[in-house]
Amino acid sequence: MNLTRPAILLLLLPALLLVGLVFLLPIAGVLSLSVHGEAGFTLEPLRELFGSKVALLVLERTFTLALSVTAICLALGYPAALFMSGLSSRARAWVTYLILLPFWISILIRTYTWIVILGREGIVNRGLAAVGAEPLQILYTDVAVRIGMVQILLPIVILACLASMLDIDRDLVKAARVLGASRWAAFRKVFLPLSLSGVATGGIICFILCLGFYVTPALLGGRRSTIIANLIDIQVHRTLNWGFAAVLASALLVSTLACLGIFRLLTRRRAGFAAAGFGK
Amino acid sequence: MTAKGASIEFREVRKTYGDFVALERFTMSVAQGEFMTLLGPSGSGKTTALNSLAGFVDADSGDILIDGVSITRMPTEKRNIGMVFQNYSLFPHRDVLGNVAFPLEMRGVAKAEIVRRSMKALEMVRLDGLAKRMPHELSGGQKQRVAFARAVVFEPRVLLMDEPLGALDLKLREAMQLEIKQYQREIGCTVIYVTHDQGEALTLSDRLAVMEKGAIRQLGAPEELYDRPNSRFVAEFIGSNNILAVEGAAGDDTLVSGLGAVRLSGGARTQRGFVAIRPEHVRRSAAAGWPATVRQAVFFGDSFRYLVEAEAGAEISFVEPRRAGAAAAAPGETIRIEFDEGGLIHLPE
Ligand SMILES: Nc1ncnc2c1ncn2[C@@H]1O[C@H](COP(=O)(O)OP(=O)(O)O)[C@@H](O)[C@H]1O
Ligand SMILES: [Mg+2]
Repeated sequence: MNLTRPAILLLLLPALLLVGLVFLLPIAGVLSLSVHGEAGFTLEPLRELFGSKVALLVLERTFTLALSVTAICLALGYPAALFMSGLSSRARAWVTYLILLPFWISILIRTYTWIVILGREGIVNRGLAAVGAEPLQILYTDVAVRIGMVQILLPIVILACLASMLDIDRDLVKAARVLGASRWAAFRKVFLPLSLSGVATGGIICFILCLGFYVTPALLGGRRSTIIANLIDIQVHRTLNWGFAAVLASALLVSTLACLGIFRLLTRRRAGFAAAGFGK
Repeated sequence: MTAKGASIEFREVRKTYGDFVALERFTMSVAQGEFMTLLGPSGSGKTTALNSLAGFVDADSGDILIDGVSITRMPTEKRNIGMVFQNYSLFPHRDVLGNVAFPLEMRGVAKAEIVRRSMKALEMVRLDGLAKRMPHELSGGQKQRVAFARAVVFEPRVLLMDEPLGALDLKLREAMQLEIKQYQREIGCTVIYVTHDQGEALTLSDRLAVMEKGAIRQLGAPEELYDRPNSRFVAEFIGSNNILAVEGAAGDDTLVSGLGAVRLSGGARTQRGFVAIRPEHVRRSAAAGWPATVRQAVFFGDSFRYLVEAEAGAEISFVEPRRAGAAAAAPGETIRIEFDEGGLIHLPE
């Protein structure tokens, strides 16, 4: 169907308005708030950010957490997706349902469930006590935060990896085998490189979602698990330092965009053949 | 490239998918250096046969031998078989040289040697100038050549091709047929070639096997299958044919059909089945022969193709080369037709 330019604009208008009003406008507001004091333009909040050890520490912790959760999700999710890609489409549909099942339950409830499992009197520790082992302090540590976040994000990573694996022409693996590649060599030289686009997509989505996590670190983490979303919340609700909250939010936004930029640079070559070679 | 071909033998190979029989009593011997074609309609089991030789399909029973040695338990990568797939299956993340080098890399060949041999294979298919291109930057014919170079670069003694020209347009297909035949002569490997295009099969093959429903219906040299099909299926699949149902007999070597009583020079084995006549074995005659009414006359440049209806009801099509001064028959006109001696073939089934 060929549409004229005005028609396209008209059709896009509602979506554009929505994005503009409820997304771009508030972001612009937040950004301007971070350089606006009572007396007009000010760099005070920015100075506060770079002067605040806590803020920098939390920012660094946020990125470390996001990186480690993403790495764990990929390490667990890639093999799971690989397994699913080998199933019949019927069986795969069932497994997909199972993987998506947790999405039916709110993140809050799922997070509270971890308290029941990992707490001092939780299932894990009672099991350990039953075999005479010392109880473990898992709850209210970074470990608990990571467990909770991985559980929430893993399905997304699995499905992203799976999508790229299903795009791979199976004849390519056959071709590799008959041309002399062992199972492992065919995987490493052909399947793995071709599935990296899904790894990249899943990884980047997971990473960005991690940066914005709030509930899980708040409920499962300890004092030292505070990440940037929690810190922003404290500024908004407790200390009422909105300017600082805005600067923290802007710092998160800018560093996320920077990560995306670096990621794009690193994957441009691959993206080139992926876009041209598949999905034709 | 001096690799000589291996001999291949399929013995009673059978493969089922659930209730569906994909390959049934598949027995075939291919001689060293021979160009053997599996010809048959889509779904007749050609790919299954090829894949059981390559090791992608585990046969339920039967045996496959290369040079007299059973390979059914050998893993795919150890079989040392070159293969060209229908959709080329070039690795999209590797450039042309990287694709052709792949089999050599897998065999642990030294780096300099890999480049030398890969470039030599690319020279053979005249693509040495495009070594750094990515597969998506190539035309269909170029991809096809890369796939071929990749399949023969390690000098396999067996080369399998599964409808390698299926995705190309007619002109390119005909040019590539000649190339493939020429390369195979240079390399000397044994080829099993799969196609559903009978013209391609006749052009390329030393021998061909016509398949239907997972079984070989007839196996032989191209002329043999063309001149002496053993069944209606083969007669209709290879070339065009007039097929008349046998309605009875009027003597030892005379059968009755929709044309009337016809005498078969080869004799009739049974009084059932069909009689086949190739269009090029039918002629217009001045006096003798069967009277028939012209239904269609189609101009083909160098010839006319007629469809006529015989008095007894049979429809016959035939080709008449155009000669200077000879007038064409017009639709509705009554003419007489006769057949070349030996042009009539009895098909028992
Ligand atoms: N993995 C499979 N599962 C079920 N049926 C299959 C499978 N592979 C092939 N078949 C069936 O076996 C028959 C023969 O297939 P194939 O050998 O690919 O035929 P051809 O190559 O002659 O077109 C087809 O009817 C196809 O549907
Ligand atoms: Mg096939």
